[in-house]
Amino acid sequence: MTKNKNLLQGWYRKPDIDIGLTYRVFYRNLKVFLKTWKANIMFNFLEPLLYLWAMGLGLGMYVSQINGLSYLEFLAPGLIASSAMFSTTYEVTYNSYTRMAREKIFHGMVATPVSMDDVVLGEILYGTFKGVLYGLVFFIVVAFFGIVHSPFAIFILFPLFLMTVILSNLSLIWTSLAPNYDSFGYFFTLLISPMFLFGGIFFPVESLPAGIRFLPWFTPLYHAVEAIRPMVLGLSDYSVSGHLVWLIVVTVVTLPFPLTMVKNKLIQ
Amino acid sequence: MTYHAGAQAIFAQNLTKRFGSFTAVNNISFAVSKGECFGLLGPNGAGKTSIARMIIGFSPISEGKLLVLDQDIHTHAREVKARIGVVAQEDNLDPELTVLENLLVYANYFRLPRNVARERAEEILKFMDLTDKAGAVVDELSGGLKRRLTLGRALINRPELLILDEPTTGLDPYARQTNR
Ligand SMILES: Nc1ncnc2c1ncn2[C@@H]1O[C@H](COP(=O)(O)OP(=O)(O)O)[C@@H](O)[C@H]1O
Ligand SMILES: [Mg+2]
Repeated sequence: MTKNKNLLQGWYRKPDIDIGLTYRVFYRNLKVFLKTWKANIMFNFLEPLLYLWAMGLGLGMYVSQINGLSYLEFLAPGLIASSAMFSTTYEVTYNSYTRMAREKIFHGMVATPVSMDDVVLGEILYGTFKGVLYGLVFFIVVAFFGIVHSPFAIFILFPLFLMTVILSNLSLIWTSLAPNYDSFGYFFTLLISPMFLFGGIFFPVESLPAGIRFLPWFTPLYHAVEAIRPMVLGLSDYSVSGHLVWLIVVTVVTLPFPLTMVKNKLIQ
Repeated sequence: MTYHAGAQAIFAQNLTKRFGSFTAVNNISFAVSKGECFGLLGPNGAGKTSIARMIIGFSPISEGKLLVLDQDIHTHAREVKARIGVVAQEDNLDPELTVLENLLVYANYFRLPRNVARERAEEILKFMDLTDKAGAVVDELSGGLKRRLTLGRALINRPELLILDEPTTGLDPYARQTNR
């Protein structure tokens, strides 16, 4: 861990980004994705679909209403966000770590005019792309259940985009610290699963015990869910703008860290 | 050791590399003229890879002066890297792509136009005797064939300077001959 202390060195520096080359890094990942996308998409959206069935239709029989919504209506929009979350976080932990540490693909890329900042930003963009894509695929499922009540629902792209950028940033920070694959277990057990279970998808955070009710406010998933739900259901809710501001601010604040930490980890 | 602008591919003066308190490269000076084939010999752990990494900008220098193709790699990284080819000690081919895709995707990082990339890729496959394997996934290649592809990939930008770190690892004698 003493080595990791220096990973933050120079986090305030101006990143060395070339958008064209960043896109080429993203494109490399996209090219690999397109080889297996059918199996990938099937696999990734099966899980939220099972939740929708089990909880929405099963548990929903026993829950009459939450905040004036049927349980299925309450639940489904949140699962769009969690579908995106899982897709992004798996990609930018296990898969990014594979590219970085095992396959040494980052090393190969930076021997060309591509900079390490281009590589890391390309990874963040790809993690974001995958999350937004899986979010949208699940959105279509939700639409089939008849839960999309407004054409403005397409604006969920904004919170989905912001949330997945933040999650890409957080995942890459963890990836830069990870000594091996096992350590990602902690990431999912300590951060992602609690967000999923207590971030306002299955029940309103107001029903959490008073002492920990403030915790979800610190998570990107909670804000995304709170923004997405009214958009999908066509409800006017002025708090949405507050959630979007939170997401924008945290996106900007977290971005420098993966860039610096991965660079400091690899370039010694 | 004096610096001759335009005549030297690499100019290193009092070059030092430290990892914490450990000194991996201690105050070395050398120059490689353009067109010259320069070999760096030394036992394992002598610091050869550390020197190569500094030259390709993968490792900041601790002390001294280092010019690559007359430029400081840390202030002109993209320009210099566009003009060099690198074969790292550890293979870093893209195992999720085929042999041909490896060359094309790499060419893309050098911003080579698609048709130029394709032409050069085919030329390299031929030269490296890999044409039959163009569609094979890299993971299916033997160690020696991977090394040949890595070598070929380093030529895709027609580099003025080629940095090879243990390039003959796994190559059969025939390949060593043709690569001279
Ligand atoms: N990132 C690093 N951190 C600490 N020590 C390193 C690092 N990289 C190389 N070294 C040390 O520097 C010395 C030189 O290594 P290297 O340049 O790989 O030698 P060679 O390529 O000649 O075998 C070795 O003792 C090695 O352990
Ligand atoms: Mg070595």
